[in-house]
Amino acid sequence: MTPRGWMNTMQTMLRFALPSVAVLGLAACATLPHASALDVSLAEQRWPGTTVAQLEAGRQAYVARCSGCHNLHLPDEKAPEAWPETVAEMEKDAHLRPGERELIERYLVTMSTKSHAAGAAASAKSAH
Amino acid sequence: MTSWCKTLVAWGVGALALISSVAAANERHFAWNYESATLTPGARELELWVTPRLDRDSFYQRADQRLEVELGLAERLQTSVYFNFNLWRTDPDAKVVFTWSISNEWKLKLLDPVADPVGLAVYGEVTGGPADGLLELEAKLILDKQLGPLLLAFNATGEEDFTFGATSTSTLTEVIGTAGATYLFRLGEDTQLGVGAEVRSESFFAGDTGYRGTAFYAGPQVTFAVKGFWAVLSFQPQFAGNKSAAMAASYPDPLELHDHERYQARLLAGIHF
Repeated sequence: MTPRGWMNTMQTMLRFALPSVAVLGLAACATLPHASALDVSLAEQRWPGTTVAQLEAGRQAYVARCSGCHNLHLPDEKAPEAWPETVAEMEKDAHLRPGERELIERYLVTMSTKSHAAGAAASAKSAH
Repeated sequence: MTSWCKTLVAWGVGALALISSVAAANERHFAWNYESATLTPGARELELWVTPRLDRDSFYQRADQRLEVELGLAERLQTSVYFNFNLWRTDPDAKVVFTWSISNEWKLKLLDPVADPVGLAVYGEVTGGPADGLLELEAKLILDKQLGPLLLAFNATGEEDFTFGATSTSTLTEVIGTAGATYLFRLGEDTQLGVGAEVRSESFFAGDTGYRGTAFYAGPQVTFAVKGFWAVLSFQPQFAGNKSAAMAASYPDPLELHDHERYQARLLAGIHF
């Protein structure tokens, strides 16, 4: 392959690839949230004794077990009370190991609760 | 009904018979872009592909078909084996030429398109067939991202084709870039419809003469998924081309129609079993 041929190809790919990668770079802002110490206090209202490690284990199990069949849903896509039924329905399809269902449910309900509470607070603030 | 139509109908009936309502399939949302998702360990999927390719600088009709079995091997790792059946003719009065080959692919997911800032996977494929002693090696870098109902994807692909003749071996290098966006409409808990578009650039380099040309394609795609089944349909006309000086002198058409077609389409379907 001649140098000119390589130049043609590289120019073509860059013209083509740079906008695409730039869009993906901007899109990288939206991710599945990690649990923090603040989330533990929310989780403990339902599951006393919950730790950050347990919430993170739920996140990891959710990514590992559920992304194989379909793209993951962010926790705020459903109301907190809707997640237990969804996880129960998916338990068999996802071949969840013992204990994983509870961990995944705890993570999704907690992060959804936080998201919906933040949304309600923002709405109340804007109303005033 | 032409022989091609009969083949497609037979495959369609066979495919419908295998639909499982037990589990969701590893659904695809693009016809030309791969996504980073991999099957969970033990999960299996059957995929059917048909790619009609029409019109070059002379008469050209071709349909590439694929029957693929995918298997999830481990967390983030899947493999598949597929049979490729190609039918084409370059003369309206000539008999249709049939060739076949077998491929094995491996995909390793590194990052998730929702959980991580960007989805990332690496892909490798080897293809072999008896026609002209064919051997193809392909590697792909897959990037994707989901933002709510919007899916974005970008692939960079390099492929080396070897043709082993009686006295010599020729090589053809392909460099392919693809990008796509799909917007998903959720029609029910397990049903979704997607509409979007994809663009592609395909460049060919011959081992002996170097750069030959580049074809640019773009077009819409529609996707549909229910529990256990998904399908994608895309139509892509070539909208621009680039050729080496030697090729441009011999083939003055502004599009690259010597090695590429004016129109391509693709229908994919996947079934979990």
